[in-house]
Amino acid sequence: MNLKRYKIVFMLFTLSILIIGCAKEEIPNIPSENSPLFSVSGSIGNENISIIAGENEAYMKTSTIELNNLTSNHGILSDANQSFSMLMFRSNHNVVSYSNNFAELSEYRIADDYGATNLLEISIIDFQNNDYIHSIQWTIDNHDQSGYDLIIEEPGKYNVCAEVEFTNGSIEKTCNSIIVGYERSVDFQLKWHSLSDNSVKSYIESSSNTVTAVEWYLNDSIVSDEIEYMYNGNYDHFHLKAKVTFQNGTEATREIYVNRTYEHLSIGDFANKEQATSLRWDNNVRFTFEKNGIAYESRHNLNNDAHFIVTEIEEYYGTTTTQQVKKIKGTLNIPFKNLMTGETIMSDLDIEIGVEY
Amino acid sequence: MSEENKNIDQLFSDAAHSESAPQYDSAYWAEMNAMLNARDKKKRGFIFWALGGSATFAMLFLSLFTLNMDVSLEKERYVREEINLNINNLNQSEINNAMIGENDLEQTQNSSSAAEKNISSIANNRGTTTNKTNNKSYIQNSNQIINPNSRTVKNQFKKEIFTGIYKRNELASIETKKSNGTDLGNNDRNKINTEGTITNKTTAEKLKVNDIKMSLPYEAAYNLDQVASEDITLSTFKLKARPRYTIYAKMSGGLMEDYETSKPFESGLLNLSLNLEVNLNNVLLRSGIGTQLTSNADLIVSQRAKIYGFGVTNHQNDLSYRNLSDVYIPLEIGYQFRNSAFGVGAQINYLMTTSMDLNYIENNNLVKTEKYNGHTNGLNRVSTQGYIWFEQKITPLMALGLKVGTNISGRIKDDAYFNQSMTTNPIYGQISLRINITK
Repeated sequence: MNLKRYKIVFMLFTLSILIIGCAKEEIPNIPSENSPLFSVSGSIGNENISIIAGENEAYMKTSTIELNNLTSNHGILSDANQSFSMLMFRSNHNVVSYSNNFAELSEYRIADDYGATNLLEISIIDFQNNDYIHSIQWTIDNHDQSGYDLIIEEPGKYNVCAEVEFTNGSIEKTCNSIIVGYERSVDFQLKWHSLSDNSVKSYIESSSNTVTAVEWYLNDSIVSDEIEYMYNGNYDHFHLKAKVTFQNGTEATREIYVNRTYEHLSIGDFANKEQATSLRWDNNVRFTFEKNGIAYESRHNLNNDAHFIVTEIEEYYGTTTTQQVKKIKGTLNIPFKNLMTGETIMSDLDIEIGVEY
Repeated sequence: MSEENKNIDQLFSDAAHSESAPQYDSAYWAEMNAMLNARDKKKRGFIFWALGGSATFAMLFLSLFTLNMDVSLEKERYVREEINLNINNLNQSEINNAMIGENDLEQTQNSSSAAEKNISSIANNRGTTTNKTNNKSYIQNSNQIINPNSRTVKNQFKKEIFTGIYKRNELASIETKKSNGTDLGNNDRNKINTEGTITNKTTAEKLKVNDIKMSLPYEAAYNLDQVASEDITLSTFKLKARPRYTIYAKMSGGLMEDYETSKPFESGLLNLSLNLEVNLNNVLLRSGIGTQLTSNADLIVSQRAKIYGFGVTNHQNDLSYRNLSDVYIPLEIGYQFRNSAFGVGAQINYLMTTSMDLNYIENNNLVKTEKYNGHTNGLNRVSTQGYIWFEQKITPLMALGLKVGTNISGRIKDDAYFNQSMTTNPIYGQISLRINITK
C-alpha cells in the first residue's frame, strides 16, 4: 500500500470538509402576515359600503392638506369605484411651539358646513376714523374683494390688506394676517398715541397673555426690540410693524399706519376685529363619501352635536419614515348630505382610517 | 326583483357596455404556441432520458446473467479429469508391471505394453462408457485396489510402483549398455538371467510414461470412478470463492440540469470519494465516503407574506441556492467482466453547507439581493441519488467511468418554504477517474 497516495486522498478529503464548514450569518425573517388595517364598512342610507385597504385594489392614502393657508390632517381610503375620506382640522395654528399637530380625543366634533354664516365682517364703520375714510379696497391673499366690506366665510388664515382712501384723497395701505374660524390663542392689539413732545409711543395691549418679546419695524426696517417703542424721528407718517411673541408661544405680526401730524388719517389695527360667529373648526372632522360620481358629506344633526366616536387611536408605522400617521378606529352614526340632491341620510359606519399629521 | 338586484344588474350591464370585447391578437397566440412547444420539448427530453436510461439499465442487467455463463471452466474440468483418468490407468499399469515383474519380467513388459495400449485406446475413445469399461476391467484384473484413498492401500501402492520402476530402470540401463556395445558386468548378467528377457520396447515410449508420471502426479480428488448407482452420495465438498478487497479513490465531474429551469448542462457536479470494493467472483460491492459539490444549482425555495398597510404588499424572499456541498456515502453493486464493470448505485447525501442569493421581492419587483453562506433553509439535510455506472480499466491502477443518475428523494423540504424550481429531480451525467490505492 502506498502511504503517499493515502496522504494525498486524506488531505483532499479534509480540505473539502474544511471548505464546506464555514460560519454563517442569520437570514432576515420575512415580515409577518397581518390582517387588513384600514377599512370602512356599513351603510350610508341604502348605500352599502365596504372598502378594505389591500383588497380589490383599495388603498389608504394619507396626507396633510392646506385649507385656506392652514394645514389639516387628511386620509382617504379608495378603490376603483368609491372613496371615503376624513379631514381633521387642527388647532392652535399661531402657537409656534405647539408641536402636537394631532389631538387625541375620545370623540371629534363633526365640522360645520362652510358658507352657512359669515365668519368675519369688517366694514368702514369699524374704524374709529371712519368719518375720514372715503373707501377701502380689501384684498385677501392678493385677491381684490368687491365692495367696501371685508367678508370671510371659510375658516382659515388670510393675509388681509386694506387700501384706504381718505377723504382728502390720500391712499394708504396696511396688511395683517387674520385667522378666522378658530379659537384665537391670544387676543392683542397694536396701539399708539402721540405724546406732548410730538413723539409716538407704540405698545402691545393684551388682556389674555403676557408679551415676552417685540420686534419693531419702521417702514420695514427694524428699529427696536423693546416691549414699547418710542419714535421721535423726523417722519410725520410711517408704517409701523410689530412682531410679537407671547408667553404661550404665540407669534403674531401687526401693522398700522401712523400719521402723527394728522392722526385721523391713520389706519389702526383692524386684525383685532371680533369674529362674527362662535363657529369653530378646531379639532373638528369632516367625512366625505363618493361613489359613482355622487358625493356625500357629513353634517350635524338637529341638536348640532354629531360626533365621531373613537374607540382606538394608535400610531401607524408605515414603510416610509417621513410620514406620521395616526390610525383611528371608531363608529359614525351621523347624517350625510347628498351634495347632488341635497338629501340628508343617516349613516352607520365602522371606520378604521389613517390620517397624516 | 328587489331594488338591490336591480342595482347589481345595472352594474353588470354598465360594465359590459363600457368595456370593449376582447380582440384576437396574433402575438398572444404566437407566445402561447412558443410556450406549448417549449413544454413539449421538455417532455420529449424527459421521455428520451427515461427510456434511454431504462434500456441501458436493462441491457446491463441482462448481460450480468448471460456473461456469467462461462463454459470454459466445464471444459477445463473435463480435460483435467480425462488426464487424471489416464494417469490413473498408467499408474495401475505400472503397479501391474511391478507385480508381474516379480514373477516374470517378460510378462511385466507385456503387461506394461498392454497398459500403454490401454492409455492410447482411452485417449482415442473419449466416450465415458469406454473409459469406464477399461477402468473397470483394470480394477477387476488387478484384484488389489478397493479403496484408493485408504492409507494401507496407498502405501502398498507406492511401494509397488517404486519397486516396478526401479526394476524397469535397471533393465533399461542394461539394455542401453547392450545397445551401446558396452560390456555387461556380472551383476547385469545376473539381473538379466533373473528378470528374464528384455523386450524390444522403444526408449521413447518408456520415457513418455515416465514424463507423464513426473509432471502430473496422481490426484485422488479428480479420479473418476464408476460407482454403482446405489452407492452414489452427495458430496460435502464446497468450492468457495475468496473475496478480493480494493481501496480506491474516485474523482467525478459532470453536468446536470439546473433546478430552476430544468435546462441541461447548466449545473456542475464534482465528486471526490474514498471507497472500498469487494469482488465476490466478479460481483462487485462498493461503498465509501465522499464529498459532492454542486455548482450553479439554482435551486430556489421561497417564502411569501401578504402585508396589509395602506394597501397590500406581497413580500417574497427567494432563496436561490447556487452551490451545494454534501458529504455522501455511496452504495454500489455491479459486475466485472474482463476489464469492464457496470452496475447501479445510490448515494446518501448529507448537506453540509450552501451558498445562496437571497432575493427580496416586493409586489413582483426585485428590491435587493444579498449573498449568504451556510444556510439550509427549506432544504432537507439528507437526500438520496440513484445512478447507473460503467467503468473501464485502463491500467491496473486507473479506470475511467461514466455515471448517469438523478435524485431519488428531493432536496426540497415542505415547510415554511415552497418550491420555486421547475424540477426537483434533475438528471446528471459524470465521467470519473478511479485510482486504486491498494491492488
